[in-house]
Amino acid sequence: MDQSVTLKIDGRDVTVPAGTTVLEAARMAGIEIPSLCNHARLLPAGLCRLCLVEIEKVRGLQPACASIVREGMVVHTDTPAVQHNRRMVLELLCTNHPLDCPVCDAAGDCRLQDYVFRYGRTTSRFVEEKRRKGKAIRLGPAVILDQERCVLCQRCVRFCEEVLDDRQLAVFQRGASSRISTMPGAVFDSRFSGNVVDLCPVGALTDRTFRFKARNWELTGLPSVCALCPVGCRMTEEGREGRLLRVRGREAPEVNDGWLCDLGRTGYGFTEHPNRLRHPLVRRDGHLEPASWDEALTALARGFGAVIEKAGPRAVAVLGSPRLTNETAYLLTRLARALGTGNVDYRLGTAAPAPAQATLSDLRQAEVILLFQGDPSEEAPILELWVKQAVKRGGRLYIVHPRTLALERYATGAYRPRPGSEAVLIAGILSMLEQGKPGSLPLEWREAVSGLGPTQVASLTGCDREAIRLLAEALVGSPRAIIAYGAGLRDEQTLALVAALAKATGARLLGWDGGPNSRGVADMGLLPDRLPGRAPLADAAATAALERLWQAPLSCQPGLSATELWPEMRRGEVRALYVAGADPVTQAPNPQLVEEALAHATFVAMQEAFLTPTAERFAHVVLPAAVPGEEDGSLTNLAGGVGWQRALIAPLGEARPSWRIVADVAKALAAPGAWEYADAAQVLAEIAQAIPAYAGVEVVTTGGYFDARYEYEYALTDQPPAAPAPARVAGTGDLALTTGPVLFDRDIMARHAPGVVGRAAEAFAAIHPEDAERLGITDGAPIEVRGLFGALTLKARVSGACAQGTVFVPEELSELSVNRLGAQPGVVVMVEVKPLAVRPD
Amino acid sequence: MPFSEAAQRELQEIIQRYPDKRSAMLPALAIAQREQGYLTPEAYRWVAEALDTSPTWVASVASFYTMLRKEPAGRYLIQVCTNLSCSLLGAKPLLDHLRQRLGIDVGETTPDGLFTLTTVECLGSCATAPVMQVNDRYYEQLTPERIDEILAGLRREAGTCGDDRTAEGHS
Repeated sequence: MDQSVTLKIDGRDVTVPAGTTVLEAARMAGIEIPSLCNHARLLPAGLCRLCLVEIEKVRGLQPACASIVREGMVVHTDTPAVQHNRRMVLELLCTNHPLDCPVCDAAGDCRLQDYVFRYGRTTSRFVEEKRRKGKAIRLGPAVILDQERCVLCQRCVRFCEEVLDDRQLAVFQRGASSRISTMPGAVFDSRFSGNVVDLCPVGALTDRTFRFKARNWELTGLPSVCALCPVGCRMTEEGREGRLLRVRGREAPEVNDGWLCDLGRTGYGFTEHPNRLRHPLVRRDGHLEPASWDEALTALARGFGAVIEKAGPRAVAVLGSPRLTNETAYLLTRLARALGTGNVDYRLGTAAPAPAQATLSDLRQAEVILLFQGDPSEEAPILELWVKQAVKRGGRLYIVHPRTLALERYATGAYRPRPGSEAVLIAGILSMLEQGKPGSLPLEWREAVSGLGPTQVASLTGCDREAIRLLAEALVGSPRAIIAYGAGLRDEQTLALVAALAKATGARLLGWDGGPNSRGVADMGLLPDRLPGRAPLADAAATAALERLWQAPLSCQPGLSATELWPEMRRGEVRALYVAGADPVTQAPNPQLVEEALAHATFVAMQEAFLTPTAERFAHVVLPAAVPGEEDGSLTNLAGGVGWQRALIAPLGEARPSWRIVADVAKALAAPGAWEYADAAQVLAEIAQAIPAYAGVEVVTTGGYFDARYEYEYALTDQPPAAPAPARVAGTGDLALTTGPVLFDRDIMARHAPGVVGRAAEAFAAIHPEDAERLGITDGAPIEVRGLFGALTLKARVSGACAQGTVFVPEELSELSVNRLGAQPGVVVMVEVKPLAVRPD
Repeated sequence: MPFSEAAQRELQEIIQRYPDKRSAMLPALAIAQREQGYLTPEAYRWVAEALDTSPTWVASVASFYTMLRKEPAGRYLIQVCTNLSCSLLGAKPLLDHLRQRLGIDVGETTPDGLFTLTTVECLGSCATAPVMQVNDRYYEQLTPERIDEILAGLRREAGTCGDDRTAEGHS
């Protein structure tokens, strides 16, 4: 079959792939055919009739958007009949259109406006009264609808249907009364609702947080990358006069394909939050007081200098965060190693995600997806769309998760191993593979799984034996299988088993945790036992190369991990701590220990955009950091795609870009090597030299796409998989605690954005109906959840999505330290849940 | 108000008739309306679940049809034809007469919840114009006197016949 077709459009020969529409073929040839309803990422609808063209030998005008090219076709896009039709369609659209362009958000970026100008009549013959419909209808938390401006192209309706598979919008009534709406009384409640604003060709759908803030022609925009989840969606930042006012999706087939979730779209409101730190703070007489940068850096140099002098560099520790850009993380690593300490980490109760073996395009085309301990909808929303797309194409989805996910209705199989037995399930599948085909596993792995027969696995996990066999078969049977693990996988042992399963079945790994740039920060070497590029410390060649690059001898001693750090600090072995972007008091798994440790520290310095509980109580110096939108920097997404985040606006007050703060600190501490960088791009250029997998990464600064690919062995942890240890049980309650990120209210910064605050669920705990009944708990009632280090008062959400015998508490709740419950990797925490009497007031 | 067992059964029977469940949408909505008198979001959800589609979609379809009511009506829904033939033969004065007798305007319901007055396009009975329909029954060749009789009859029926929903006027 011939793959390309040649046709004539306006006298020009055009060759396009078979199956292309006439509209698309014309576009490729540089010929514009106006259309309101057509959209490259939606199916043709043929609704607006603006794209009608003449096709020779076909009677009547034909919709270009719904006509497929044929060999030898002759198309005319500019004949009197075509022009007449365009004028007529536009005139009819304008009869009832309010023509309120002077107050319309879309003005200047409106298809109807452009087309009337280009193809329409200059005068209107319409003298009758215009039809009245709904104005400023609040469709949902993110979107406002003006039904009078609507041209009924149904892009929004089709988006809900085709992309979300969630028909929340539809055309109501008929004829001239037709209008877009939700079901009577219903709210347009989708994590992706804001995309309909981008899709709307006119001003019918507007962005609630952006409305009336600026005219389109006043905005300047920069292509950037979203820094709020591990997907790193490509987006455009727009603003004016030093304010970031709007972000919109940007075409990027390899990442988000132009879609954004509502967290990304509305999350950047934090730039203007009144609680932002505007200047450095230094603790004097027990109080944090405003200071100049010089004063703060001098105090910092004195504090660290004294510790290093007295106790050596290994009494210093550096704690980063998965929110940091690659540049900041890289410089932190370099600073720590140059100072002579290996105590660097960013993991507070998580495992570093392994480099990905699959791209997001692979995920969209996967035949088999095993979703292990991850909930894309809450943790990496765009992946929800890609998983749905894979299933729509005939792929099969298997889910292993303690809760019932929104994606479960697309699943071929869903498994809910008992809390703590997830690793057993994976080991069980490995053991099944070995039994089915002896010798298929490497010798040293066999030992790890040998004791796990199917019956034992079934009884340990509570999962059906036959169902487990089907999952194993599916993974082995497909060349395009992907194992995607998420934020629920928190310990290295389970990760090693999952990696082994991928290797044994030929499936490819894709993983993420709750942090937006965990993958990048780990690549940058912010780990106690790794160099930048994840090379082991013992790698002499890598060490030598870095020493040359850094012009400094390197401390190649393995340091303390963020878990090992706190006891050492409490013992006085580690005395000074530098924290960038983390809040250990509310984030570390053992807050009691962390608080005791910090109270013992001689000196604590932090760089942060907001005053966190840790900073407020323990920091001696706090340096105000810029936030996304205010600083350049690269982010590596869960699939290894590196994106370049841009500074559209200047940092607030005296805040500085995070990477620059690290360089300033290094200079203040007189750390060996050169620390002069003109900008973040220069740091990125150095990263390209320092990390082989990032060689050539600089192209991202000019809009290029870069994939940080590793050799296969780096995907696996160094250790062969070990037999899953029986889960340690802690706590005295009778419900097993599960926790994880929720999309809104997950991020230490996004929770400060007005568009997000309204959507964040009240602090809740989900509990199974039967447990609720047994404990006398009703939906919506206040309950107390008591864990290892304290209790939280939460609102009960009685839900069958939560497995019986478990309680789910979101990982980050504003103002509440969920870590007091004591959730930690590899431990099943049993919490006590009881109803609280409502106080009469 | 939950849907009755009988309605559930009837809906399931109707669904069996179609290769695609969603084809049963209109009969399903008719059943829901008969059950509740008018359509509510609860009804849309009930139909959507049975037909395996989204409630929004069901509501969208329902909104297309004026015969599917979205607001509660009185016990007797009076639909007066105001199309050409009926208008030529005096539909307008008859409508005014009804307004005055019931003390309500078009689109309103009497305070006792007995009557809702609406107008309707052609009822397809031009030969017997002017015409009105009360619930499922036609009343033809109307005059003001005739209307008074009909209203009196309906009031009597409402007073005696207990809970009978449909107006099986035997006049």
